[in-house]
Amino acid sequence: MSGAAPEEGTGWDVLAGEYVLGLLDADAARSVEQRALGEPALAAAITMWQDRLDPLSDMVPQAAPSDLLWQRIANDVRQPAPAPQASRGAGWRAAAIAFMGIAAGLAAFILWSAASRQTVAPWPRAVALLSAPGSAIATLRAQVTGAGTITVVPLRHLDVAQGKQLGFWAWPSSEKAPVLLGMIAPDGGQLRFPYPPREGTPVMVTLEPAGAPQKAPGPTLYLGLLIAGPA
Amino acid sequence: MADIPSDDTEDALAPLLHRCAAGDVAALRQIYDHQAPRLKGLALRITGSHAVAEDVLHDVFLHIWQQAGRFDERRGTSRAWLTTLVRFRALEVLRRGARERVVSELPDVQDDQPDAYAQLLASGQGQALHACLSALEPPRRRAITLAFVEGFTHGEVAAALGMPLGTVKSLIRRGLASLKRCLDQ
Repeated sequence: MSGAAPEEGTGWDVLAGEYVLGLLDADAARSVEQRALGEPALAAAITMWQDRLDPLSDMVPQAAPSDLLWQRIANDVRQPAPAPQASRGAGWRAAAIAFMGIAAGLAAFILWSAASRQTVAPWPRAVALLSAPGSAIATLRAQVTGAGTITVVPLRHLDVAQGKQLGFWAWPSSEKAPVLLGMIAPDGGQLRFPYPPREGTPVMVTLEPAGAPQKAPGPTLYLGLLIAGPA
Repeated sequence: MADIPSDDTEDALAPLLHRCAAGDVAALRQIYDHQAPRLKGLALRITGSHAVAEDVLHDVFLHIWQQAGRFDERRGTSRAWLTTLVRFRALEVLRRGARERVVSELPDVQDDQPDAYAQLLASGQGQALHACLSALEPPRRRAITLAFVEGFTHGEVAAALGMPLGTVKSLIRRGLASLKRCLDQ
């Protein structure tokens, strides 16, 4: 795989086909996903292959799920499904919502990690999965608990350049601008979250200079929206 | 299940997804009842483990619940969306390296046998795919099928076919191009 470019004479069809078959490695797949956000023809080719190849799944013998599986699912869906909050204007709140809307139509918008399922009760009051802009793959998980704290856990290894640090921001609807909650280490951290854990609240990880005061967010690395937990 | 039309109706599940978006757990249960055996079969085929396959379905059904409001019928059928979610989640789990395929748990899929391809004839979309796959040279057909059904990488397809990696990559690309031309006719 040499990058997100169509082969001569095939448009995006062959690349999209390799993507839908699952043949591309993680970097190449991410490159396709990012490219598809700005290339409607590539996004359409991905959809075309998804639909056209779908009948192949009927070649596989069906397998009865265990009785416990639905119980596990039902236990985890006790809260109402989320609806995206209306954007209140430009900026990364709008960007986060817009991105998530677009990415949801793409194939690789699959955000759960095995690690997240190993978290034992208590139920989170809200949770967000943060992805790099343009990517559909979650990189961090942020969970608000009843104690007014937010715990941030990376789902993959993060490298932070020398002289830089990771800022964690939220933009509650009560605030006019994003609020810096604090810095997190590459292996995560726990910060105070003195706001109601409302659905649709954007959260963001930015790259900040080490030691400098942060008045406005630095470059955005990862974005997500809180999804409310059960009352 | 009674009010779900057959799989031939492309958007049969779409109304249920809309109900999920409105918080209707019964709609999710209907999707589950109708689709879980097919989807678990797919996840089992790729991961090789019943336990991991059920983890995959658990994650995907939570995803469906949380993202149902963002499902866009203009971007494809609901059934294909579910298939893609399961395949990609299963591949992600497998390739994260946490699991080895447990081949012994798997029944064989004789994907080079006529009976297996005959399954495709059950739906209108499948009939077109069946006709176009049948028109492909057998190695191209088998390579594409192995990638989709087994979740094989290029390297695994090459090993299964006993061919060099570069040959298999070229085989699949040409196969996809031929398949697309045939499906467009």
